[in-house]
Amino acid sequence: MTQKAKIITVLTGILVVSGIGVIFALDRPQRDPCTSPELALLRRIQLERGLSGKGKESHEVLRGFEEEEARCLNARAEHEARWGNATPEEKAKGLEEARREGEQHRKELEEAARLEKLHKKPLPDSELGIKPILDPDPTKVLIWTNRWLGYESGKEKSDATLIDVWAGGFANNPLQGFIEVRGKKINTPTATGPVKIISERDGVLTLKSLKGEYAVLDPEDESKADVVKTPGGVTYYFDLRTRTFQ
Amino acid sequence: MNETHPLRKIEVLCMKRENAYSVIIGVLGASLGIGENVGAVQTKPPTNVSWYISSTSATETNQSLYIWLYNKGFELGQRDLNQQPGIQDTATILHFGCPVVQSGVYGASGYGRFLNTAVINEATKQYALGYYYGTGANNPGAEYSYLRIVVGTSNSKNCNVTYAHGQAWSQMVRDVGDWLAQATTGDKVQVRGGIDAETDTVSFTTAGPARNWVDGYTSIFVSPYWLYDFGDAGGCPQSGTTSTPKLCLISGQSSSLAWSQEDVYYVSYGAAPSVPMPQIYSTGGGNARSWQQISLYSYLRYGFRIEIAGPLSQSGACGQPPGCATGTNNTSTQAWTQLWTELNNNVNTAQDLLFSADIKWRYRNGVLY
Repeated sequence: MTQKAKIITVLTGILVVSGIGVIFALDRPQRDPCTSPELALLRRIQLERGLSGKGKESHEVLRGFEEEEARCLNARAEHEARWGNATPEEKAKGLEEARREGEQHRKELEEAARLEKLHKKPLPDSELGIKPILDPDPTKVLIWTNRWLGYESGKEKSDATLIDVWAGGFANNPLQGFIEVRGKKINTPTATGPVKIISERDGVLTLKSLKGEYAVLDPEDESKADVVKTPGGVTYYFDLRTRTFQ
Repeated sequence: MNETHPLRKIEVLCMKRENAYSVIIGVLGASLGIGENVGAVQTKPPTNVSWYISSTSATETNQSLYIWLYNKGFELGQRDLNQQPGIQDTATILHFGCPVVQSGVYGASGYGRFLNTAVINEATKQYALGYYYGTGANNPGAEYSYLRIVVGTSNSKNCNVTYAHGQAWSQMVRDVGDWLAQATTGDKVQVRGGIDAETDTVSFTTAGPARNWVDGYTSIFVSPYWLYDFGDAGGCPQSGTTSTPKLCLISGQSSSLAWSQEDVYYVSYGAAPSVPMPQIYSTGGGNARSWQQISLYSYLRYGFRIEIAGPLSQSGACGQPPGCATGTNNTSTQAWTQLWTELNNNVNTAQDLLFSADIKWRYRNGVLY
């Protein structure tokens, strides 16, 4: 076969395959912008598994998403009918108007916040004192133990004098305890374990380090871990006025 | 088991390319046998910043929370209006902390300040309104992008992880959905439920309470208020899955308390409203492997794979002092690539993903972000 014939053959081949591609593309339904990925997923599940009376394959579940799709289609159609022929200037003006409406809404929120703060009362005694910390640290970098919430000793009760002290240790080094006051972490003077707040008196917190075993989990495989033992049992005193351990 | 079906490769190529010209190239490439590495990973959609809605400042009021959420919603709307080409369809998680009942009122911990369901409801609406105005409202020039807000809690051990709380959460999500249905905001925003279900039984519950919570949510579930599980599969096998569920063993924790693959399957997908959007944090790919195995378990046991909405990463939180645990700072792109690749390396779990999210703190170390 000559060089020219080879080129013609290759080009013909490309054209044929391209033709198949065009047919394939035209035959493939384009995703409507209102068909959410969720609805597409649901239809795929139902296509593969068939509709049934329960679970994700039920008619009711599909209907809920289809109603969302219908609403989206209506909203976009109405918007297009109303503003489809808007000039660039009208569009810019419309966006500026939306920005102003949004700004107005934000100002209303700010005013409500101002009034709420104005009428805010000091926290009731029932909400003060030593409290548990309910959530573990989701980023797994800290070990929380408990917290103390109260007003600075000898000062008028106000937002400015409210202190929220959190206590604990570091997950990657459980020996080192700390307390956190207004975002600042202050380490215990010795590394004996995570600390827990035991009591508060006259602006001084009493803390005690915890004895225990702490697993530093392998992030790739949590069935593996390094275990760190903490001796605990040491008492610390923290002065809330000077923000220092005594 | 580990090969990718040839038709799947072509399907993936085609989904990647929305115009005819690209499809031609794809078909050509595939037919010429050079398609192996073309479009190997599905293109990641825009990643939404998700939030731990921490209210640790005792001085904060509900209204200041609303303003903050409104502003963040507005910023996201502006992104979809100005920075991202075309219509966006994304998901944001708002994680309000673990389930709490205080004086008979349901709510969440707020990571330090109790937020009842009425406050969470209003906070979610303000985020929705922010997005609505940020995309131009209903004015000329507005962008009709679409956002779903996932309102999340967790199965933290110290909290009220109960059937009744699951019901209350489901009702709250429906209430927000009903409000959106009455407002033009609902043209652009929808709401979903969420649970950060984790398998570490030292800090989180065993499977029983978590399943109960999900059953409570399911008991009054109405479509389309799906329940996104943005939790983990910690300790779950990374290989060797069969149709018999294996335990998710975490070092130092009792095997008698351990979750099984069946538990993770049920909470994240088996229950009618559940869809997983798992934490894919580990940089070495361990999290992605465990979730691929959960999907494979579903296929082997029930005959169908788990469909996964997309990965949640935490690079945002890792960038906020004091950071995150070593080796858990996948970027959203890394998380996406790991999860998609693991799932699509097996014909029985092959699938495309829907959303990408990356979580960070609202308050951390005393700083409001």
